[in-house]
This record gives sequence, structure tokens and C-alpha cells, in this order.
Amino acid sequence: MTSARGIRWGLLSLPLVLIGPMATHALAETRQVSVGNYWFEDDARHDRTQIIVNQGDQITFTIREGIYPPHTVDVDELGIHSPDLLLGATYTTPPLNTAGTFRLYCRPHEQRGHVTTLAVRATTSTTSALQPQPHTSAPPTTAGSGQPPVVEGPQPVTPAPQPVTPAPRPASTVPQPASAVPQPATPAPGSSAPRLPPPNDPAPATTLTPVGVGQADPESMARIPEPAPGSLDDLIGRREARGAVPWTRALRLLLLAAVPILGAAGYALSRSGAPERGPSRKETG
Amino acid sequence: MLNLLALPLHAPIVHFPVAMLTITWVCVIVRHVSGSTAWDERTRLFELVGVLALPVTIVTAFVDTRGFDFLTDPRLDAPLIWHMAAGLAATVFFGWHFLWRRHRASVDLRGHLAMVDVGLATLGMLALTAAGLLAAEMVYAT
Repeated sequence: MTSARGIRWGLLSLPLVLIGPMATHALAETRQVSVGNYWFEDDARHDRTQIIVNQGDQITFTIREGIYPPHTVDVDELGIHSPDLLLGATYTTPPLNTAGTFRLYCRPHEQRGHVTTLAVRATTSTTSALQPQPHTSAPPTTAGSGQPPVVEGPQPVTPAPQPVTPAPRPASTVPQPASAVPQPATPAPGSSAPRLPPPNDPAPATTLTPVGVGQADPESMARIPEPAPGSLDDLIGRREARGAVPWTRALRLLLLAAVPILGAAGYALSRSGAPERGPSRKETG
Repeated sequence: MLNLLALPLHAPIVHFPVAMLTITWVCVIVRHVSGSTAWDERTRLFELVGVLALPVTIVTAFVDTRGFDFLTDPRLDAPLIWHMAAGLAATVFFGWHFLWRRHRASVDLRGHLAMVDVGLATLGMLALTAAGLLAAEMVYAT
């Protein structure tokens, strides 16, 4: 009798045991960030002033506008330093296990203002982890604080500055070299993602997306980023994706330009045998 | 602190040789069309300024590219290496033209010498145009 009741209670409590971790931890996912000249844009929120992710998330940066020297992705406090990234390249970070606000910048173009803020929120709940969050100044809710998960209303997105001591990371999240095998297209924001490990273990056991350099799929590159305010594209109203036209069109334009140049040269040579007309009137004066 | 070497240097400086050498080519054409030797001196002065500005332009280009990596590991499917090649070709043609002209009297520039005069300047102009078109692709398109 007692054992049967125990089994029954055990069966009833099984869903709670399984759902419990989901209720107290946000779903980790791979966030998408676009990189252009000279901006970082959170693809989900179309915000270039701040990139907001949850603790445990990864970020895949996609280079949508190329330049020389190429863009990079750097966060000194998190030890993230990508190699040079050409147009169409992607770079996926390891899971971001340290909550706080960090300086995200492009090393070659830092002086040109290619800098933004990366906010890594401490994970506490599930329901609002995937949704864009308004920027509030309410005090943050930190994991492991003993408070019940907050699932309603806007959540704080910019936790108070926290120590930036890097959290211990599992072996599987060690950054890979730049020559990592190109990865497939990263899952779109909002797609299903594996669950994080049980509570009280903030570090995920595995990465969702291979860490390192990859190549964006052509469909992803077809998306036309909005021009930066005040940029040339913005001023002239251009909405054409960079790289949509092959650069070899310069050769065709050169052929067109060569016609008047060679025509003028030919005409000059045909006249070069003519007798000199002497200096102009102004020169004689 | 503002690091001047982190700013684009090649782009603002390249206008000097581009403008001077383009005017040089125009002067060469006008000189042969008009037959006026007065254009020879203008050609020489414009070309002198343009050719002297070329080394500065080349050095600043390598400052902007942060070294020679794009040469040691060239990407032939990208415009940068071809822009550099076209720019160097323009440098060679205009430099050659400038040095060649120093030893030629104005009255000699007829027949075969006129062809060399116009030919070198025109080849330099074509190379300069190619470099400019490729630069436009790099700055505005890729």
C-alpha cells in the first residue's frame, strides 16, 4: 500500500521534475547579429546600439558589408577575438556564461566608431527569454538569488555592472581556431533549441552551434541591411545589398571609359603632325 | 585617444596624384591637338606633382591595409589586388612618361615620338581609370 502510493506520487511528480529545469532556466539559443560598415545589429531587435542576449546564449555574427581591412569581433572581457572576417563570413562565439555589460568592437575599425554594447542577461525564467525586451533600469534579477522566476512584464535588460571574471567553461566550448570547418546556416532566431542543464549549473554542457568561423548561406546574405543613419547609402536612399552586383562590372565600365580616352588619344595623334600654331593670344601678351 | 594611423589615409591622399595625372593626360592631348608647345611645360609641372605624390599614396595604402597580408595571401576573386595592380601600372606608365619626356625637346614630339608621348600617357590614364573603378567597387559596392 505504501509502495503503491509512493509509485503513484513518483509518477505524478515526474513531469515536475522534467519541467522544473525549464521553468528556472531560459532556453539557450544562438542569437544572430549582423555586421556592417561600421555597425553591429541585433537581428531580432534591429537595434544597433545594444546587443542583448541571455546567459548561456551563443552569438553568430554575419558580415553583411565588407571592407578592407576586414571586420573582426572582439570582446576583451570575455576573451572573444575573431580572426579577420570577409564578406559573407560568420563567426560564432562560445556560450556567453558571464552576465554583464561588455564592450563589443571591431578591432580594425574601432577608431571609426565600430563599437557597441553587448549585454548578457542573467537567466532566470523562460517566457521572455526569446522576446525583444524594452530597455528598463529596474534592478536585475540574478540567477540563484532565491527569488521566484519573474515571468510577467518587461525584464531588465542591462544588469548592474557585474564582475567580469570569466565563468569556468566546459571543455566543449573552448574556442576553436579560425580554420574550423565551415558550419551550416545557423538556426533562425526563435527556432527550437536544446534545453540547458539542470538548475544551479549555469554553464551549458554543449554548444548549440559550432564555435568559430563559417560561411553564411546565400539566402541569409540576400537580406538587405538598413543603411546606417547618416551614411552614404542612407543619404542617397540606396537599398541594394552590397555585393549583389559582381565587382567585375568595373571591367565593363573600363571598356566604356576607354572609348573616349582612346578616341581623344587617336584624335591627338592625327593632329600631331600639324604645324604648330604658336602660343595663344594670352601667352603672347 | 585618436590614432591617426587607424583612420583611412590612402583615400584622401590618392586624390592628388589622380587629379594631377589626369590633368597631365589632358595637357598631352591638348598639346598634340593644338600643336602649341606651351602645353609641354604645363604637362611637366602637373606630372611632376602627380608622380611625386605617388610614393606617398602607395605607402598610405599599405598603412590602410595593415601590411602586406593581402599580397602574401592574395584573393584574386576580390578587387583589392587588382586595384593595386592597376595603380602600380599607372605609376609605371606615368613615371616612365615623366622620365622619358625630360630628355625630349618639344620640337621633337612628332611622328613616332608623338606616338610614344601620347601612348604612354594614355596607357597611364587607362590604368588610372581601372584603379579608380575598382576602388569604387571596394568602397561602395562590396
